[in-house]
Amino acid sequence: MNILNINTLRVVRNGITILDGIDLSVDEGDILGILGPNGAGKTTLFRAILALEKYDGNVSIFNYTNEDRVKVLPFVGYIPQRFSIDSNFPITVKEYVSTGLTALRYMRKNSDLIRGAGFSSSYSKSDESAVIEALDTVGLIDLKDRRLGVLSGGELQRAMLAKVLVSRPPLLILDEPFTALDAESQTMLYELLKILNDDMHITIVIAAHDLMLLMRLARSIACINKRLYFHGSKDECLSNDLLLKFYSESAMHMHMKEHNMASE
Amino acid sequence: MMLDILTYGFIQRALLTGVIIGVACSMLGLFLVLRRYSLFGDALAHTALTGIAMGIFLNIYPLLTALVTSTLASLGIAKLRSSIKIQGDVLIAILLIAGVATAVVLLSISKSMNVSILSYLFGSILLIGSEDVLVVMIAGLMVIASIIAYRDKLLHITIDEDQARISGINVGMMNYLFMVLASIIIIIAIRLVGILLVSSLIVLPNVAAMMLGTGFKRTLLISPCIAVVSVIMGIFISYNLDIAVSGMIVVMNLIIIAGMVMYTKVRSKSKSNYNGIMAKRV
Repeated sequence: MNILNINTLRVVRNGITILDGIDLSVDEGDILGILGPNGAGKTTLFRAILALEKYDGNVSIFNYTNEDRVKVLPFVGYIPQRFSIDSNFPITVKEYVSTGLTALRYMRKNSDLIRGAGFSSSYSKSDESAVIEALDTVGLIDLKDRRLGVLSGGELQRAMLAKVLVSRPPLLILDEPFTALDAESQTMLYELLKILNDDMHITIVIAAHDLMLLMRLARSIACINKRLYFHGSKDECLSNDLLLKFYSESAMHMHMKEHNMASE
Repeated sequence: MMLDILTYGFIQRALLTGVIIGVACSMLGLFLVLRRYSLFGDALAHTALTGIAMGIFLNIYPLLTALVTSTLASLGIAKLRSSIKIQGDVLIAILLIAGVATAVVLLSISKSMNVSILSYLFGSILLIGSEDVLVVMIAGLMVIASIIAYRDKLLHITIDEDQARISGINVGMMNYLFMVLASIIIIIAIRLVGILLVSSLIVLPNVAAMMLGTGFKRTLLISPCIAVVSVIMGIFISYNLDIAVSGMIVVMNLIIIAGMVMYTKVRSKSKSNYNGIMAKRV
């Protein structure tokens, strides 16, 4: 089944074209990796998909197109690239994760909207056990009574994932989740996403600029830099010399830049 | 002896309305403080001054016209915030000044720059009549009930508006509702502490509560308790020592905050001492 479909998407903000002519489709069970340098428009693409940004063209989620899709947005989990919370904000990790119940309650009430697109096993669970299970899945159960603002970057990322997982959305969108993490947290998140996809059958769309990590995780790849340069299976992507050259050059570029900075 | 004053009708009315206003302001205030809108109450109260001046000018019940102007102002803020990019603090500054300026102009035209305006500036809870008590009770309880009913949605929006929107919350609607609730409660709070001190009821109990509560639920419970204590103590002390009520309520609040700052300091100090001793032993 087609979970996400994007047709001739174009985003213009303040007279500047940020995305143009994007066509993408994501099938159920897929892990679509979106590759692109900084400023390529990955975040804008996600915001357009989630109706947080104005655009031209068509976006369908679970076969609901444009304005119509707003009613199925709670079935989508979204982890933005940046989320910060004041260390004084009085909220515990568990209370924060519990805000994911809004989506779960909506999904229970409107489950007929997406029948066939993967029926979540969370529907039948009680609110409390859905929250506890989500905390357990990301390994934050011991920190559940801490204030959210005192968590480390990696822990906050996992709290965000737990919040989304309360409802086990059939589609999960992650914007550069690896960027701010150390190697250990990266591996942990990688394993977690694998489980979500393999065992819970959650379709994943994930943006990154780290080629290696994304290649290991993704089933299909889209390369974006204002326009869509490639969209296909991972194998096709790996055998596309031109593409690899482009990305290995940019990776090399980054490496050299780091090297230069280190030697200065 | 002390409790004799409870037999006076005006003290009973002051306590009842004071407690309701205190609870409603502190609960709504938590969301305002967390959204970094601490001075929003001040701005709304100042635009209410324009409404009061209009009421005096047109000979209509001033708090009614005040409710209209501050509701319009708050909805205006909500609209402006989403449509143009003005920083929140600048918007509040503009509103604050505009409110006072138009009020001064209107009052001088109607030549009513007199004592009655002072009661709006500094509050007059001891002068509250039984009809006013009813109005305050209905409005206050409505605000409290709405906040309890919508606390999850309001919290979600406070943490992250985009996420709230994706989760199926009608963020635009909730923001408008919230603004209307804020204008209502600020207008009735003017009776208690006056325009100049309205933000104290919104900000101070929450500053204290946020020091004590780790979680949201606890903070939302502690904050109205602090408000109630300071309102009751404020009214009692001001009656016995013959001091202005509004000022005393705010001073009580400040004393509670000062006490908490000292308490948390002492606690963290004793904790670190303890840890130090433990470290030496090991």
